[in-house]
Amino acid sequence: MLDDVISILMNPFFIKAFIGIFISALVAGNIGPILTTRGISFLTAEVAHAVLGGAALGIFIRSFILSNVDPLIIALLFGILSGLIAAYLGEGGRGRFEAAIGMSLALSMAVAVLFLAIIPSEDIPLVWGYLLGDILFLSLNDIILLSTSTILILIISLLFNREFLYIAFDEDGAKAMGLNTRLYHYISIFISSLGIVVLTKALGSIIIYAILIVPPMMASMLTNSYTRIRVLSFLSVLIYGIIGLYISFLVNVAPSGLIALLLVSTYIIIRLRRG
Amino acid sequence: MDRDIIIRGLNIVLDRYRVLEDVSIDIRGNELTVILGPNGAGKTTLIKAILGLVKPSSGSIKVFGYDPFKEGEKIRKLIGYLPQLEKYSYEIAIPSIEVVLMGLMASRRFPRIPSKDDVRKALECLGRAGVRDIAYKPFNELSGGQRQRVLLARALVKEPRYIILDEPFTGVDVRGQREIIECLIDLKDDIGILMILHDIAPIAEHIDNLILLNRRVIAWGPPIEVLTPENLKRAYGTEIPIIIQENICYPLLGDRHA
Repeated sequence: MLDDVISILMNPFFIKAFIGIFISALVAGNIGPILTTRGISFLTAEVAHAVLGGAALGIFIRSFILSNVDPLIIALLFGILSGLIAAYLGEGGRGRFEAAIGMSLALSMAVAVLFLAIIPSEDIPLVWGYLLGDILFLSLNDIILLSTSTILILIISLLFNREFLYIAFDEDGAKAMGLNTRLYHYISIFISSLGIVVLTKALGSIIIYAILIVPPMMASMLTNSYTRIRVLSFLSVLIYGIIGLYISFLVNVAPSGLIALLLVSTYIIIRLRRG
Repeated sequence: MDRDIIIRGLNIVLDRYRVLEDVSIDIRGNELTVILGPNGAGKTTLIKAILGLVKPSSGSIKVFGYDPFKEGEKIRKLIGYLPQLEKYSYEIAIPSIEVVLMGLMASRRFPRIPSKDDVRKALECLGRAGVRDIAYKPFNELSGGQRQRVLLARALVKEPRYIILDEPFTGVDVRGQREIIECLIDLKDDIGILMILHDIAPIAEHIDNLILLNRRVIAWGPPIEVLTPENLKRAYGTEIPIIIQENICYPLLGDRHA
């Protein structure tokens, strides 16, 4: 029994996947609370879909223009760009932001459809890979790119912790007191979009909501300290990630689906018990 | 008497809807001025224009001699602003002192790290607002009156010449209202106060100037001159009963936020 456990834990696939889960937990713990406390969690769906369009575009560029370009970099840039476009179109009110996100989502799906028709058919599964994520098949390049992005997210969210808190708490007041709220809004959209791309690559666009939104929602039932919400979100993605990964090695199911299932069912159980 | 805020022929169109029309008023310093009017009268838009948060479509605003939209950073140091209580996020717990420090940090340059002196100043302002004992309690766990006084401390910490409050009594019980009013009366000697109200009853006896607004200025001046049955009917579109007691006018505006 113990040998079985050790053999799974020492499996090189498991080790790489564990790195992926650890990165995902760091990202989710930092970005999730920003999105939920500001009421812009819909951005998640938008950027996650833009990654599909970006990946299709990236494969198109690799096939026909620059053969040494990494589609993941194009997906990353495209995801960030679409998040920033949504933020720009959505300036001037929360309702408008939601509409802008819808438009931006449609735009990136249109790009995806367009390039899926053009790229070589053997590459199409690479795009659909982003639906479920590549946690078990991350290459060394992927891990380097995802880790670099994660470090950037951590640095920015630590540096501007106070500013993000201010615009989440009282945007009008902060602006009236002289804070450049627009700048910090765009910075928070930038790191959120970057984080969503990282999570899409690792765990897939389908379950990204579960990873980003459920942990801070669960944490906020236990505490309302911003720091504790972030730490608890990180821990819950990490723990559920490892459990999901372990089970996926036993029963051969995609780990991202298991992680989402575990997270959402825990949330439902907590809600039911609380009445 | 010096005039701190001078507005001439102000028009504001938002999303093709004319929110304010030909507004011309002077607001003097060291007085308590109230903007009164029905829902959708453009009260919040008017103060946002004074703060430089909304761009005038035409007309002019001068605040301490500056154009608020173009020279916003100059007037932001001079004016403290308290948005409506419903505008804050209550999902995250922020200690009251951190809310007050926001008043200092927001106008600083990056990195915004409070010094010991900043913390001392914040505590002192919480004291002036009568809520020093709750400095380390989370803002979202306070009562409406306590929240409003923490926000008052946040405005005071900048040592402003003027404080603007948007509906400070909404969601605050009578005792809380009295406590806020006591704070404001103490401040009035040094600081000009402008507030939006739905109902002036709690503070009627202290009002120096009243602006009756419904997209246009219906009337402005001392309350007893402004609150005539004709003016109130023009503002609210219906007869408003008035009680006059010891030369103070109380219009019976049953309209309260649910």
